[in-house]
Amino acid sequence: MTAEQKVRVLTVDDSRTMQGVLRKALSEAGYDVIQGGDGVEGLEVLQQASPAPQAIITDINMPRMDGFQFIEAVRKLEAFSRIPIICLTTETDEEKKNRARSLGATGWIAKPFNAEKLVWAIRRVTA
Amino acid sequence: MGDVMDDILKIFFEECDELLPELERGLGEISEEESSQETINAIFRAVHSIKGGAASFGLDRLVRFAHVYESALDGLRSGKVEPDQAIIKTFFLAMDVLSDLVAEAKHTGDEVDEGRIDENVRKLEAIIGQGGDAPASSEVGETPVPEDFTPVTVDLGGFDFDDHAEGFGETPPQRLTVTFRPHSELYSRGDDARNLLLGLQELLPVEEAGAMDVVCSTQELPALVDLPAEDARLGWTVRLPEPPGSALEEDIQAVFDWVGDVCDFQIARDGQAGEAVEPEPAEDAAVQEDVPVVPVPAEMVESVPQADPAPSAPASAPASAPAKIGRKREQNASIRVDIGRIGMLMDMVGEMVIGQASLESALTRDGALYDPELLKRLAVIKTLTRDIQEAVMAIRAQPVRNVFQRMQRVVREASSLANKDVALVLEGEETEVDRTLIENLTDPLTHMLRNAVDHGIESPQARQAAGKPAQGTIWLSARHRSGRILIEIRDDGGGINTRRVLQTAIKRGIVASGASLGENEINELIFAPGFSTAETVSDLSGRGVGMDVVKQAIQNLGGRVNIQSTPGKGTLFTLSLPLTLAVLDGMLIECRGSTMVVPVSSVVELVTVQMKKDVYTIPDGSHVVSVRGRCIPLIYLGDELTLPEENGTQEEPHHMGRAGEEGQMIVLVVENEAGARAALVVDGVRDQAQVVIKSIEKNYRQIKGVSAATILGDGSVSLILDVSTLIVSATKRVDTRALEAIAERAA
Repeated sequence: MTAEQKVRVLTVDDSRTMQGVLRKALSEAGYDVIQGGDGVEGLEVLQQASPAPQAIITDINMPRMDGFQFIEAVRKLEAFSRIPIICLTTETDEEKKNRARSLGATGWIAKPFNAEKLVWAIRRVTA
Repeated sequence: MGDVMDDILKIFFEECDELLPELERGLGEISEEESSQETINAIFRAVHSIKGGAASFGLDRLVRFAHVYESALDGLRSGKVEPDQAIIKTFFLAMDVLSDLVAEAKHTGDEVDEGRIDENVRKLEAIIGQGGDAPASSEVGETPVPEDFTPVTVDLGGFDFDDHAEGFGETPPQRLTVTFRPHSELYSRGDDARNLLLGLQELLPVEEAGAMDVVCSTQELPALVDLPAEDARLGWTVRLPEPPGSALEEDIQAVFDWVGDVCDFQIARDGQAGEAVEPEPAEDAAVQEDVPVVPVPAEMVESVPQADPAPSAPASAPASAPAKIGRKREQNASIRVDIGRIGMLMDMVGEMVIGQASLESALTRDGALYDPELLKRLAVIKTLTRDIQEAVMAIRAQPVRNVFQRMQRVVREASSLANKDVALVLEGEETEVDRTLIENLTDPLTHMLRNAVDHGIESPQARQAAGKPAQGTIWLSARHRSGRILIEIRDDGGGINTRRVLQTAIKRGIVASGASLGENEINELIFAPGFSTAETVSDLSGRGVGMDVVKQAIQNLGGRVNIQSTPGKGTLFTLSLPLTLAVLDGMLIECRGSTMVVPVSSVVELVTVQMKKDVYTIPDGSHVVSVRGRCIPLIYLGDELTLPEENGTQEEPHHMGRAGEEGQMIVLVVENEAGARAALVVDGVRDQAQVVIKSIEKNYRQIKGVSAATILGDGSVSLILDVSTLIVSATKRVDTRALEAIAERAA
């Protein structure tokens, strides 16, 4: 599989540790990973990336622009109105999950997660 | 694998070192009653991030404590807990425990006493209790005692597909029927029925992938004219073999986990009640005639990235790995240092370089002290000094990547404004340059790239007419060359239209009409102040700054700009910059008893001229000198800088630097980036040396003609000349036409 054919995934998380873990897990599973440190940066990276990513994984609790605002903003971009967005979060409560859903999140993974769960989730939306 | 986890763990501890002080600061603000909701969010996030990170490494004790702490802070965040001094004290104490637990995990601290943890957990739980019966997060509400919060160590080994094959035995499988109908919301959330189908297929072992039957139900599909494009009207029935003992039903539930609210679905087992309950199979049987069974095409499955089966082998290791990694930690820990301190170190090293150079020159010049043995030892110190200098520079060095990547956006925005299709290719992003330089590169690069899109690349139509691809390309590259950094901006556009540039320059009075200039000289004109070839000021590059500003910015960084243009093929801008702004190579010159520094990068040549033969007075009274057939304005440095005349030295030979006086004089031909030259009349040249740049504006005030100061080896302060300003003021005085007339006469 050449670099061009790899599925590109954008991960948005303010924790550099999480970013490292995500990068490792996804790149070992054969994905091309690009990253943003919060919602604002995520949007920037998303719009600048060439080729564009095929899926997004985002944290919810972030400074500047949180995951909810990020999802809302991504859905407003015409080019990304239907990109799969997976929330990565420890927020297990239904209300938050529903809020993410109503804003257009495709799915979610609860932290702590393992690589298998993560890769499963990405495969689930990038088939 | 270990290495990467190692690195991530290192990042985690670094992050903890940033988050813990943030937590402390936040708690301090709350205690001083200066906090805002953002402060509370920030401290919550800090503990939350530590917990999340720790969970990835199976740092159990840390995770458990952070979890309780986070829950207590959540009460504060949701406003259910009012922070009084007692609560804040508990939070401070808990912070200390958290910090000690981090140190424990890092193996830089002793194991934290279990009793102390328990005591703090109890206090935190008391706060959670105060939050009332409905805390914001159900996680908090349901599990105040987080015994059930089991951290999961991230298994970062390969993704083993065999896991899914487990349990498939010889016994003939039962079949499960899954019926689902997605709502249109499923699609607007970025999901797709295809994802669900492939998700189901993946539940089967590879060799049985074909054993899945898929039937599409189209009965709800209206006639094409009535079909709203965004509506979801298809339903699907999938039959899968279920191996005995497998958790297939559970796995299927997992596939539909995210779409429960936007997709109707049912699972039924063959020959069981499920089928009877369901009306679906009958319906499907009806449509089965017109809609054939759709097996999922194999290539769809193949397009899914799969982990290389090879790395699955070490997958069993990670459980024990983190503990081992933790032990190795301390040795290669990194520290964060205030940039000011490194700057100071840099300054001192620079002075050491000068001190060493002056020592060397004193020893070699003065014949009496000449001693080969001494010189040999000095050479060792010289090498060491250089090494130290490079090592300090390396500390401040950063790759140009960040600046370069920002340019993608610049080009994208510029090309969409200009209705052009332009790709930016980055090369050498890892090239390292001094931090101060990087910060100052963004603006000039932004402008040059906008310019390249606007003026360099032609419209798609013009490109196709010229037999080029409609998409233009700009290459932005960086590399090191002989102690400098070379940045190239190359485009495959139309090149510079020299005729038009010359016409414009004449129209704007930048050059005299009838001047005969070489191609390169004409190209350089685009850097002249007030020059713009675009007939109308476009949105892009015409933002009130021309290439002259870019040139000035690059020059201020001690750099040079070069243009090479091939008509029809494109233009290449080359920026050559020093690796640092802290040190420069200078020529030490003497003038009226003062030693001054001229940056070597702006010196063209050093010549001795005959006053009678080579110096001319032009009608306006100023002087020019003819060097190799080119007339250059003379600058009497002493007068220009109004240096006091030295008493009693009128007869000294070095003071003959006046046109009209007898004999010879030494001139230093200097050039600015636009190629404009001037000849500095100096009394003598003392040496060439590396000097440390000290801001004069910061310590004194701005002086015309002087860019900075430095301290020489002998401890004296010396001024670094701002060659560019000197040239500009000299050329302004001199009428260019008069210059040409003299050149003709001299020829």
